[in-house]
Amino acid sequence: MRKQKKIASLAKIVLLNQVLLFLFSILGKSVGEAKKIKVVSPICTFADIAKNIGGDRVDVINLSDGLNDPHFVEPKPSMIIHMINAEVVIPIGLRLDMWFFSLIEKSANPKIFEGSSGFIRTYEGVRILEVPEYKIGQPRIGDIHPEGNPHYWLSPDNAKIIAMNITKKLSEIYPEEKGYFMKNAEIFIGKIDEAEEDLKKEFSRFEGVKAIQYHKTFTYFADFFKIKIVGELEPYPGIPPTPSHISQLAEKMKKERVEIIIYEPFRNKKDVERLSKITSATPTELYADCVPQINELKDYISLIRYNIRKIMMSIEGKRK
Amino acid sequence: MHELKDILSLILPAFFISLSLILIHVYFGTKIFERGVIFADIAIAQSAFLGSSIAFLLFDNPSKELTYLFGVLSSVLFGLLISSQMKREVVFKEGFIGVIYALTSSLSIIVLSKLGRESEHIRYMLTGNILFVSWEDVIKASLIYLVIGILHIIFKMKKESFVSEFFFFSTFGLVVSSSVSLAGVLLVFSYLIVPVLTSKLLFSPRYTLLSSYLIALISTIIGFTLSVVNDLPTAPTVISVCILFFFIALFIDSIKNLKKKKQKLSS
Repeated sequence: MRKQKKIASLAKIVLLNQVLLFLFSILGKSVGEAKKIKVVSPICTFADIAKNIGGDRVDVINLSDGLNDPHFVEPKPSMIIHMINAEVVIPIGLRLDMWFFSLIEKSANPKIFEGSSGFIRTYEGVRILEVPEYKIGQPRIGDIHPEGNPHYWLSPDNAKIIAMNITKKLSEIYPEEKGYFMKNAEIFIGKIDEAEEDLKKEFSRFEGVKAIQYHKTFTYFADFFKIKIVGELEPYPGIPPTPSHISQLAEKMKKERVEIIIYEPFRNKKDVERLSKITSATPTELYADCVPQINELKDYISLIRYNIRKIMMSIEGKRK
Repeated sequence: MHELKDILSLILPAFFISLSLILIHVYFGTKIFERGVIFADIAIAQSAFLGSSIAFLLFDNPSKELTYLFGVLSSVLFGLLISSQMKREVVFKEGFIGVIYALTSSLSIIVLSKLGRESEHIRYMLTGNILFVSWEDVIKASLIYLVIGILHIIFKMKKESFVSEFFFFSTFGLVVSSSVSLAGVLLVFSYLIVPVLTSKLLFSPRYTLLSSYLIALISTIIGFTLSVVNDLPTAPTVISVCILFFFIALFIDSIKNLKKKKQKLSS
C-alpha cells in the first residue's frame, strides 16, 4: 500500500512539473520581447544573414539545425506557434523547404503568406542555375528541379543578394529603421567581400579541381570557387545511388581524374566510401548550412571558410 | 493566454482526425489480424503511393483529388490481387504480400526516377503530417470513413468468399490512400496494428475491438499532451506511447505465463 502511495505521489509531482513547464514556456515568451520584429527562418544561414541586417531590432528564430537535411524537417507544435507570431519569414523557395511553406499555411497568419508584406522572396535577382528547358507537352524525363537548383545560398555572391533582399523588405515594413538596416547591410556585405577575397586567393592554386557531389547541393558553391562538378552520386535528385550508376560514375571519374567526392554529413557515407575505394578520390564532408553550436561553423562566413579549407586539405593530402 | 488559444487551434483538427483514424483503422486492424496478414496494410499503402506517383507521371501538377483517385485505383487493383490469394495457407499469403510490397515499392522508385523531378518533393506531397491537417481535411476524411463504416455494417459478410475479400481489401485501400496522405505512413500503421496486439495480450477475444479502441484513444490523448507540453513531433510521440502500452502489456502477459508455468509445475 505504501509503495502504491509513493508511486501515486511521484506521478503527481511529475504531472505538476509538466504543467508548470508548459505555463512557464507560455509566460516566458510573452515577456520582454514586445518591440522586436519576429523573423522566422528555415535554415541557419538565412537566420544569420537576417541577424546581421536586423541587429537588435529583430528576434530571429531558426527552425532547423544545420546538421540534418533541410528538405525534411519534422514539424513540432512550437514551430507553428512561431509562425503564428511571425512578422517576417525568409523561406528558401524553389520547392526545397516544402515543410516551411506548410507551416506558413497552417499558421493562417496573413502577414506572412506568399505575396504579403512579411514574405521575403529571398532569391529575387539570383541567377538560378540548372533551370530545365522544356516545352509544354513534352515528357519531363531527364529534367531536374522544375524551377532550378534551390541551393543558391552557398555562393557568397548570392548571399549578398539575399542580404539586400532582406534589407529591402525589412526597410519597406519598418521605414523608420531603414538607415539602420542599410548600414548593417553594408557592414555585412563588406565582411563577405573580405572573406571572398581571402578565400579566392587561398584557393586560386586549386581552381579547376574536379569533384563529384552526392546531391546537387554544392553546384553554386563550386561555380563560385571554380570547382568543376563532374557528376552526382544520386542518379536523380532524391533517388539513392544504384550500382550501375556508381560503376558508370566511377569510370567517368577515372577518365576525368576527379580528386574529391563532396557530401553532407547526413548522406549515406557507405556509398561515398565505396566510390572512393574504386576511384581513389578523397571523401570530403562539407556542410550546406551553418551550425550555431559548432564554433568553426557558427555563421555563414565561417561555413564558407570551413568548406573551402576542408577541400584544400583533401586535395593537398592527395597530391602529396 | 494568447498562446494557449493558438496551441488549441492548431492541435484540435489533428486531434479530431486522430479520433476518426482510430475509429476506422482499429476496426480494420482487427479484421487484418483475423486474416493473419499483418503486412497487407503496408502493401496496400505502398500500392496507393504508386498510383498517386503515376498521376504525377501522367499529368503536370495533378490536383489532390486526381492523385487520390489514382491512389485508390491502384490500391483496389492490388487489393484484388491480394484477395484472389486469400484461400491459401498463411505462410504463402504473407509471402505473396511481401512480393506485392516489393513490387509496388520498386515500381514507385522507377516512376519517381522517371519523373525526373526531385523525388523528395513528390514524397512530401504524397505523405501527410498530422499537424498540418485542416478542418476541411477532417470533414472530408471522416465522411469517407463513415460511408465505408456503414457499408461494412450493411454488408456484414461472414463467408470468406472472393467477393467478401475483394470488398474488404478495396474499401481498405480507399481508407489507407486517404489516411496516409493525411497522417503519414507510420501513424496509420501504428493505429492499425499496435492497439489490437496490445488488447490480444490483455483481454479476451470478445472485447478485442472495444479494448483496442480504448488503448488507441488513451495513447492518443497522452501522446498529444506530451507532444504539446514538451514540444515533440506529434505523430512519433503518439506512436511511442502506443507502443509503450504494448510493452507494458507484454510484460504483464509474460508474468502471467510464468505464474501459470509455476502452478503447473507445483501441481
